[in-house]
Amino acid sequence: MKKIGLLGFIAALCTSCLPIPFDLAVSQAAGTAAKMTRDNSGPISSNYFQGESQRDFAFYPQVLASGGFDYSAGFVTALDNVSVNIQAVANGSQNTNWNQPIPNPDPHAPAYLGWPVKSGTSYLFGIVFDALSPSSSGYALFQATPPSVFTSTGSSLLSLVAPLGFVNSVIGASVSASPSATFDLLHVLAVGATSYLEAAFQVQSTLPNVVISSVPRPSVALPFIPAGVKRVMYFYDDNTAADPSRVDNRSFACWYDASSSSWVSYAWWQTPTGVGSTFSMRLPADHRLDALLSTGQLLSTEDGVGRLYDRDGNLQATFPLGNLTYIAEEYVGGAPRCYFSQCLIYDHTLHFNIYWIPTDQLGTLGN
Amino acid sequence: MRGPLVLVLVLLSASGFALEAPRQIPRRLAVAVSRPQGSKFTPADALMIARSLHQHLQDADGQVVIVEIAEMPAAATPVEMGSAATAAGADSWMLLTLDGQWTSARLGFRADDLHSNSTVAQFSTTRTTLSSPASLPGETWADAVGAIAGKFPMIEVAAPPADSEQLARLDLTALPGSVITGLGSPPIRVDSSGSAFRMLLPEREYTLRTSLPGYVVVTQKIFLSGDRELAVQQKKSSRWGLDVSLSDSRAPGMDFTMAFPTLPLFMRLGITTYALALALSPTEVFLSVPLTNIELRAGIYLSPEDRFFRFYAGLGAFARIVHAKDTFPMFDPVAPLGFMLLAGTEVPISAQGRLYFEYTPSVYLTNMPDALRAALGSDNAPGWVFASSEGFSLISFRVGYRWQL
Repeated sequence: MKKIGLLGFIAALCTSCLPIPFDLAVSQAAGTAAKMTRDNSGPISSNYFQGESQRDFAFYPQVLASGGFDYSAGFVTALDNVSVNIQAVANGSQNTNWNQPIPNPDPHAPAYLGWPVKSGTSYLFGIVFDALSPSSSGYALFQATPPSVFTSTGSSLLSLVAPLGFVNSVIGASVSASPSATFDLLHVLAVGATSYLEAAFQVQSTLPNVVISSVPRPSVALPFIPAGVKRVMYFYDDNTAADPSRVDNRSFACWYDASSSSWVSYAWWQTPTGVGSTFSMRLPADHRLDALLSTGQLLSTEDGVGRLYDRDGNLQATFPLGNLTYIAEEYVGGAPRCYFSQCLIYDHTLHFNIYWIPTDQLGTLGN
Repeated sequence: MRGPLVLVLVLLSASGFALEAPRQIPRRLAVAVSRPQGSKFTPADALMIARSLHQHLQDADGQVVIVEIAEMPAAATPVEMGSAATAAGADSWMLLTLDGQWTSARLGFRADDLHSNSTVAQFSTTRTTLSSPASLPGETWADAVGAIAGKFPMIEVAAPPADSEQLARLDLTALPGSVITGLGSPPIRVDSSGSAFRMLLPEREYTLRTSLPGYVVVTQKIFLSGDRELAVQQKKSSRWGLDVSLSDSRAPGMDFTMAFPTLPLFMRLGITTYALALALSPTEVFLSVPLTNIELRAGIYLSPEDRFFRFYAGLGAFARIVHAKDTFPMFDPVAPLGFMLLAGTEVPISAQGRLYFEYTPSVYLTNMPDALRAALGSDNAPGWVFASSEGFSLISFRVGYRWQL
């Protein structure tokens, strides 16, 4: 019996340091990714792993003006407790690392929003939100020029909206892909004393003239947004596809309601678009909305679950994302695709795979 | 004169008197222990100490058969000892009086030969270094062994008149086809009527081992003092078994085992789940991972079932089922299937139960070896090797308990 006990003890010692060969997030991502197309150039490796204090790794490839991505360049992003960690990757090698501080991260919403924007080089358009004060909100344009030059430039979003008559007031922003080869669209929601301002900016990555035009819309009263809300997920559907079923153009806002511990979403529009009376409706969706797609659908990726809603907030499909991160919608050959990145960590190294699916087939992930 | 002498010899021969040399039979020494009033030794202590003494006496003199008898009362007399020894079939006895306590034991020895009606040895001694039954070295009993060394010579008895009458007949009854060993060469095969016999030297102890495929091996000791009949009680081997186990020191499992009646083969179907597993962490006791393996294993026993260590080997396959909250159970997309080797041994714990220990190196089939690597964490997991479509886990164990139903 002593021998048996000894054998058992040795076995316990040998195996006590062995991890379980399973990670639910990785497996769930693998199941969903199997229904998408994997970019063949991956995985993209990065030495940016700094330990367990980092989380939410993503890779944003460089956007090509001709459409799609160049996977040899882009940005690795991660969050730690105090900042967004950004690493520029160019031609498959890692360049300068940079941190964007997050003074007061929102405990519910993403601490920052990032979008790859069109460029001949590699750019990531990022916005860091302050959960306590919209006045400190800003944006930063992260640029890498091969092989190793890294620059960043930033100016407050306030400087964008100030000429339009609003100060200290940006509470929501989003970037949507444009079929245009030269720019993408930045949509901003700002709050004034009695009403809200919406504006669209054509943005491109050519420094320093990031914003090449702006399209303000009439200020509106949005009484359903609680006073004091400092952060909303905001989207504007300009119906680029000219879909008759999506008339009139809609705006969307989504915020976390602490009293119900869930997300509240509203849509509003003017009839006729942009000039008529304002109408609104509360959407039945109760999860955070993370993207407005070119199809007019809304995508939630909250808690590693993909939820696809129609423009009225009705749930159309649910699918597990695991550790897949939605990074952008881009036009390739005139057809929009949704892109996801998956980060696999082993050998103390980050390994990214990029998957895509035509936007109009995103709902099939729920099958 | 020669005529009458020849006549006497013929008559003696006809009347059955042997003309051969007498034969010798070993002595049987009954050994008992007693605890005087005031002794600090417990009955369990006395039993273990008596066992140690028996073992060393037997090892020292193979010509004396040691017979164990129960503990004697505190004030057992030589007469009472003699009676107890006779009742146990012995012709001599030794009484160990166990007084005091472990650290200052007072031992009394007395050995009597009932055959010569004499006291062979009688002395007292002390031991100051004892601490437990496990600490009793051979030196503890050196004086006792020495005191009786050569004092119980074999007894010479007259030889039987004929060869056949020198031996005792052991008639055996067992299931047809049974093979009985331990009674000399060749092994006995029980005939279709279920009976067999063998002529054996009497006044000896024999250890029989009766085996028959599909039946539990029976091992028993008998003392053959003369002609005897013996019916071997054989019990059918159970075809079904139930295992509970712990894989890699953390994941509980359960298996149903099916054995094949006439072959040393087994097949097991079971599950191992990480839904309620040991965390093996300084900060957590349990963890819950929504993964359960369904496992099918088959193998062959390499050792007879009555061996203390019964070794076996085999192959297995497993399917990994993910049962996450709010989703339907599904095969793990990363590594849905795998195979394993088995190399294990069973140790009997009770009549129906065995403890077992298995080494189970495994191969995980995967289309995404990088995802499987990542599932193991950011460090390089020890004991893992990866190929283009496989992950090999070389350090994997299972311990468990197996019941025959």
